[in-house]
Amino acid sequence: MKYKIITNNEFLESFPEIHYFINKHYPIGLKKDSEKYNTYSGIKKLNKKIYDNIVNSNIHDEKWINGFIDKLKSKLDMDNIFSTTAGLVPNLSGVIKIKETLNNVTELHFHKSLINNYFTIEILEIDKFKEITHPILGKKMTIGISSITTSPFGEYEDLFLKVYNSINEQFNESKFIPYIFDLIRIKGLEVPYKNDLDVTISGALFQKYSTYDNSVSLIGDINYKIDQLK
Amino acid sequence: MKQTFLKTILLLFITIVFTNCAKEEITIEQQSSIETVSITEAQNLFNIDEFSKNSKSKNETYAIANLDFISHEEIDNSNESLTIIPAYTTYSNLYSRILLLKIEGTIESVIFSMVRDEGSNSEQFSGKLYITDLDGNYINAFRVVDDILVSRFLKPTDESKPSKSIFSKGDEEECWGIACGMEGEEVVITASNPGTIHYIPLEILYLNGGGGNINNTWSPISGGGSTGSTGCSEGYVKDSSGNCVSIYTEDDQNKNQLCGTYSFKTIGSASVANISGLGFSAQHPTEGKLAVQLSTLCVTIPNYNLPLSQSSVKFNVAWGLTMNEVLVYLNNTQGIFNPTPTALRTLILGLLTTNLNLLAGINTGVSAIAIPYGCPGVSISPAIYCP
Repeated sequence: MKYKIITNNEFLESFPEIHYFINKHYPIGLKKDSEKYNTYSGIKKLNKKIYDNIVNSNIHDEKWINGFIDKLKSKLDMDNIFSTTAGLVPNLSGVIKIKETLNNVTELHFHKSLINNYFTIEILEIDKFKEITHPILGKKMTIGISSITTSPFGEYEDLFLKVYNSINEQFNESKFIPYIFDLIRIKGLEVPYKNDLDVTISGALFQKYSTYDNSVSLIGDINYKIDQLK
Repeated sequence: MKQTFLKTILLLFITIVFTNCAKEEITIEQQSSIETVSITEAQNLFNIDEFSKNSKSKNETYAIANLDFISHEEIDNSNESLTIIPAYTTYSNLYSRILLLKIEGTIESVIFSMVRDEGSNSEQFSGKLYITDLDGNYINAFRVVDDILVSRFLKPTDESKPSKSIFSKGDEEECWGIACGMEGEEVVITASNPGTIHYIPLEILYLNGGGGNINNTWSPISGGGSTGSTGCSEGYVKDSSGNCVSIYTEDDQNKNQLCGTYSFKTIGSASVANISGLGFSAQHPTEGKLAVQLSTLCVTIPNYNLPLSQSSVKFNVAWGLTMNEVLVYLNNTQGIFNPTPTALRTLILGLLTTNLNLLAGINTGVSAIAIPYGCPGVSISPAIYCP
């Protein structure tokens, strides 16, 4: 699987609904350190949403931690569920630690965007210590992702669906963002919380704890629920 | 005004101690066998996430070893070397190193920390030395004035109070930082040849009151030793063919290593801080000085595998690793990579983010964004470089 880079126009033609919401919040084609970018009305709107839902810790704790994470714990009868909202980012997030050994951990990650009620779920198989060879620096340790399950599939199909349904019940008209959008970069799209150029569609909606490279196995349907978005 | 007052108090204190305290003399007797701890042995002893296994405490880690900078330093009158690992402790402004030595076949470790007095001149060291175990517990502590070890702080007892006149920070506290629990009665050292910081007896590091003796010394100031002997001039190393080739080296004026603590704020479930004054500098024998400054850096470290309290220490470690990697990168890409300020900033931020993710125990999710005024709503902390 390879990343695909598309232009803003191609983005508009292929996925008009998501394009509308991303374009509404980010000035595609502007550098994030430019004045125009930071005075763009959508960026200001997004900053206000981030302030109201995340920086305001009372609201974050009340609506997200007490209002969703704690309910999910009761519903699934699981204690290993935590909020993981990553600071000044356009989404709320959480993790279910499913299984942990000395070297590996299995986690279900869920992310609920502040942009148009989009959400996503993925199950990560994580290598706690993975040695990689950097082309210039040589051997280097990292936390590796060995596989990402992108839809209800396999051993944790039921858990995936339970979390999916819980998010749908809690947030009206929420829509699932399939993993394929992690593999499509938009030319000229920059977001305030990443140093990347040409950010992916998913990257504009969520700050995730995983990234794809060719050492990662993708399991399940990467286009899961894509029809809802067309 | 405040500094003048503190200096006056310090002078008065030293005078009182010199005239009234009990007296102690460092004496040296028989020799224990000592051996160098190899780099591999040191690496096996510590690694980023298993450091705490080597300490007795199972609570919060007192210090983190920076295994990218392990070196050997000369022990006077011995063919053996002291193995040195830079360490970041929970205290700011503390220059700490883990010192490893095999004594009678067993690897012994201590943390050697220095804190320089405010206003102390750069030619000579005035301040305090703290020798602790890996959990930060007292082994020895000394006051140094102009490179001379003038007094020793005995292990505090329940009855002994911290030296309030030096360490009080307002009425509410009697001591601060590492001084708490480290400074009992202060005893003047009156050896016939006063000890200097250039010749620290190894026995006061490792054999404090225990059996055996080591008649050797080490200088925590020189930083010299076997690491510098490349067989080439300064700024050059031998390549695989034995030719001396020019390399970038750490700039002595700016060590590139951080020792500060920063005001991390919890936002959502992450720690966020703005850190100003970060930069990188290196020297090259033909290219000259290479330096770049970053705008205020907004650093976000998710908390789910890392508590807020460890954010500053982990940031300092990640920064140290990054600076080392930038040097390696520059030296491995000479003639290929053009280190323009923009390219260097991009390199630093990329490597820093990777290292922060590793130390935060996640694959990705950390962000380190250079923004002129930092992230909104978060106070700006200045970067504090190690002394």
